[in-house]
Amino acid sequence: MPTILSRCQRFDFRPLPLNKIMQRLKWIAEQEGFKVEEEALELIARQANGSMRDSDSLLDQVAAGGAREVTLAQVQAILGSVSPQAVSSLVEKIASQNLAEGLQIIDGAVREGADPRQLARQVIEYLRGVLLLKVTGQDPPQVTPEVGQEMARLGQGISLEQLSTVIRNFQRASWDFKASLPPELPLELAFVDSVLSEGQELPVAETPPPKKKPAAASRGSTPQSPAKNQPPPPSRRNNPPAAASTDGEWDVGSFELLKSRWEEFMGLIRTKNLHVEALLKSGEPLGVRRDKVVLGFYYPFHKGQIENARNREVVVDALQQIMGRAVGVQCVLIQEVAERKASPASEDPVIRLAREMGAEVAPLSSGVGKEEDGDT
Amino acid sequence: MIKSATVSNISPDEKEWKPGEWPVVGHRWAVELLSGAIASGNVRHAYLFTGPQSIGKTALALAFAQALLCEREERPCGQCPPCRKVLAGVHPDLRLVAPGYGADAEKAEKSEAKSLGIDVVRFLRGEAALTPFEGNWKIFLIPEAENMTPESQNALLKTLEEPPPQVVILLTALREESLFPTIVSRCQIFNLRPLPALEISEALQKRWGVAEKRAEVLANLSRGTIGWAMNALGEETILEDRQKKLEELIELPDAGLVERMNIAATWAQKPEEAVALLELWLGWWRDLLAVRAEDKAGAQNLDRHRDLEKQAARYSVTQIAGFLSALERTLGYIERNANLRLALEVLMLDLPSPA
Repeated sequence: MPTILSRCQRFDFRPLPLNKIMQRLKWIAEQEGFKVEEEALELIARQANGSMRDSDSLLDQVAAGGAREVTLAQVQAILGSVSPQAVSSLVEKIASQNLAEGLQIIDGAVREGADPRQLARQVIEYLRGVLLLKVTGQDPPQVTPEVGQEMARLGQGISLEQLSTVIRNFQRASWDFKASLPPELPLELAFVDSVLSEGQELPVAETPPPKKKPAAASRGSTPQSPAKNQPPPPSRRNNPPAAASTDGEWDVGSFELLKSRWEEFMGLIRTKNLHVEALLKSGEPLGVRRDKVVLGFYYPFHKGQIENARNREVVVDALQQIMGRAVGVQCVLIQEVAERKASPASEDPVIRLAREMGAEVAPLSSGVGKEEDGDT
Repeated sequence: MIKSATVSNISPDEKEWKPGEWPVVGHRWAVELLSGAIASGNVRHAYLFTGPQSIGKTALALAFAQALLCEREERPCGQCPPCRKVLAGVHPDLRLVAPGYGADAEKAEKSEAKSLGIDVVRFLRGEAALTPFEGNWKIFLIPEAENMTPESQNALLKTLEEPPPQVVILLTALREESLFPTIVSRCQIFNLRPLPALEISEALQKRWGVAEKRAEVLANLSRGTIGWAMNALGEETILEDRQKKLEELIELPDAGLVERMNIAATWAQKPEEAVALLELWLGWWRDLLAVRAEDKAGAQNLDRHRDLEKQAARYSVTQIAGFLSALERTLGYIERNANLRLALEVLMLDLPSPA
């Protein structure tokens, strides 16, 4: 109650810093007459998350066996944590997108008695180090120079955006726990999600794109529903659609430039030709390839109009002004939408189900309400 | 009074008991620490054992209690009177604090409550204040401590803060987060992890005389929980049932949507079986992921390797990972009491059609 609070002097305690805890633990060990390895001390202190009693009782637990010296291995056995090498090689597998070996590392660690959630926490801790190093350029505290170098090396192969996605994935795994699930599953999924979000290309050889039924095909190429509840991988948003991206030679730099000046470009077009501006508004820039700006359109009509020589000239002129060099224009239809047009039922699984049950999809233009096909 | 089947389940045959050997499968690190603590006189007043179901938390806690109460040098010996009493579940200084503890027998019969109310903890505190009847310790075992109500957890906290001498409280829980942090931080925590399949298979062969092949299959399917493997031992048909169910699940992705909806409706009629099926399915898809990612050693359903490879080739990794997440979500919904049929239907829509 605020009325009580306002009549008290208030002291807010914050978690203790790592080195304070370590000092205290060392002192305790000295008083009790046993030794603790430096790494073991750090792991104990880290584990306690700033709580002195938790680290106390953990130290007590390790030392209760009566050993003269407490080793890192003993603490690891209690906590179910894995060696720092295993953590860094798992992170390395994320950076190099090696699914198989990463899963093997997780599997091996769990088989040897590691606690999956503890492993997730260790990965987060490590990635935090990489993140700090990348942003500040300085080794994070409590990290040996060798580990620092390793972190710096891994940091080069991974962008900040990816790093934060990966950290979030593992964070979820570190607290996700359901009684009915194998405990390592959240960790494995976090790893797979992280690898898959690295790039739009899958790291394993893909079978040829499914082409059996239109319904199956569209599900295969746009895995929307399975991926619905995951955060969309950041790379997918600003990259050209996967269908077009396979034939390479994309000029990302120019495209970034174009995107940043797109408003300006549209303004320029507006002064030249209102009709062309309207047409462009029903499309969007997809990328720059071989000195050609690729424009995507949702409908063949708009695409055809822009391809018309006179309109095209307007666009090319404006592009030249904006980008500072002569570029061509290539118009494409945006695939997903085109597909959706071709077989409307493939878009929504519920409509698909309705169709299988014998419903007919009535076109909207015929004046029939859309509810008509929902009568199943 | 301890009247738990777990004791006789986990303990090896009395004749073969090697003194000093703990009646626990695996968890060597925990056994070493605990026996070291007894030997060096560093026994604490509260221990918390956490870990997945049927992994041996209660078994380890009981073994620890037995070792504490044992009279001989090599603890637990399995032969001295206290050991026998613990094994028989009649040792007066070892109390099993479960629903109905402290209530008179008639009332205990009637109550079906799962939770441990405050009266239980009050009774515990009364008993804890008394000196032990026989040995040096008075031990209270509280299995599934997450079933304690908030009031009873707070009441127990008092005992944990100022424990009467000679009292040892043993708690088990699925995970430490399900208890108050104030309780957890006053316990020594032993987080038990799944055992390697090899260890389970060896234990099955050595202690229960299971044939090698069967032991291996069971160990692989047990997800590292010895309790599951032992349950499976009791049920002859468990493997065959599993195969039959798996057969159905493997073919499911080829079914049309209408058929899938019918299946969802059938499953929804038997909620408990549905969860078991989903768990089985989850295991299968995890294997698909392993096979698809070319981590072949990671698969559990080793006996169906051909089926695995065939099906894995028809999906992309994204699809497999996506459906695994969908299964995980669905199990979460069911845990939180969602409409089962609805949850299953959504899952069926999420099931990717194979190429």
